[in-house]
Amino acid sequence: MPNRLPARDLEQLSAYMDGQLDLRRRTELEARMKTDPILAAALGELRTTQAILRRAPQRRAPRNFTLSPAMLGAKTQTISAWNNLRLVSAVATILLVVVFAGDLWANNQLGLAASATSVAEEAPQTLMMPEPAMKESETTTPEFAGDAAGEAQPFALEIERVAQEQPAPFDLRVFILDYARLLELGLMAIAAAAALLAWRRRHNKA
Amino acid sequence: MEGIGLSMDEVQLIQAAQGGDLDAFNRLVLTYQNLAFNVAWRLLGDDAAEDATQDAFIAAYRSIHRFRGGSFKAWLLRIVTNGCYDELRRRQRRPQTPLEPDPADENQADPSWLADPGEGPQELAERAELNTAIQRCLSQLEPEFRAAVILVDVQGLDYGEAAHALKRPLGTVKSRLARARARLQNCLQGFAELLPDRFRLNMQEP
Repeated sequence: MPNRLPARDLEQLSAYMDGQLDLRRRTELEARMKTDPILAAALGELRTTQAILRRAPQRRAPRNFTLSPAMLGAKTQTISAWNNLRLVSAVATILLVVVFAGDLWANNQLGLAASATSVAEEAPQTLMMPEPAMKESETTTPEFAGDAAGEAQPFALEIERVAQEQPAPFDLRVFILDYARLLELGLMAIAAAAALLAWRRRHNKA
Repeated sequence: MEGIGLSMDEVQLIQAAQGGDLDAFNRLVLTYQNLAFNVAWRLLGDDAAEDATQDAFIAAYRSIHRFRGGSFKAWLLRIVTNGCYDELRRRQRRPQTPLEPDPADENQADPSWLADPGEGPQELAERAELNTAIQRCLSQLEPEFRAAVILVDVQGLDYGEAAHALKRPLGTVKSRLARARARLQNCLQGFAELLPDRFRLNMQEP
């Protein structure tokens, strides 16, 4: 019968049975029960149900659950291994994000620098070259051009040789670009392996 | 455990356990192990309750430094019920153990644990049937409803302790309890012939 009662009445009856209603609500409910036999019968049935549940047999604990240092140690080891794997996975993922962001940043910086350099290199040559010279160079005959190239070539080779002898200054952006892919792959592998191991450990435990 | 005086009350035992005294904690285990085991057993319905109880005590020892007073019983039962919820969730993900009591389960088939020295075979059989009816009906409730009714009606906690153990507001506990009782009453009607006469619910339609 309680199942057919409105939820509010059911809650009130249940709380009334446990002495959990305040004086006003208790008085109201008692007055209603005097005139509503269904409500009164529902209270009786709830009381019977509660009496059955209170008679539910209690089992004795099948053994003592006292703890020993060895039990705590074994459990610590399992928990700490699981926690360590989770930590490794989380750290590797964070580092992966950092490296990836650094990679994007370095790419962006070098791209800007390269475009700025090419603009800077092209602009003075075009602007500083006198007009007649330009025309002259445009109108140079092939035989004269061959002579000019012959003179310029040793000079260019010399510059290249000197440039190779001097070590290039350390550039973080170049360094990141050189190693970013490798780092990203490594971190991805570590994060995935740690997550997989952690999941397997938890799965096996379950 | 020899070092612990018998006069040591619960507060002192808790304080000692918070300071890392495992013997003091084990005294608390001995006090509450039957209660913790019975809650786990009623929630899980089988012998997985033994592992759940042990794990709960290990977890309680590890986190006892976070206990800030109030009812230790309710605090401990919160750990027990949370552990049981985890186990039930695991079963839902990997359904291999039936939620309903297994008739082949030795505790169902052999009710020797129910035996009371002063009881005859008739009373023992009655209690076994009562237990079967209760456990079957409890197993049909959702875990949160089951936990509310187990704590209040089967184990006799007051509303405040149950609310603390379930980490739910008092109003939620009241509402769940009322609905759980109504559904249990409905279910127990199906076992009317198994219940002792004094507990037979009125099955007549109004």
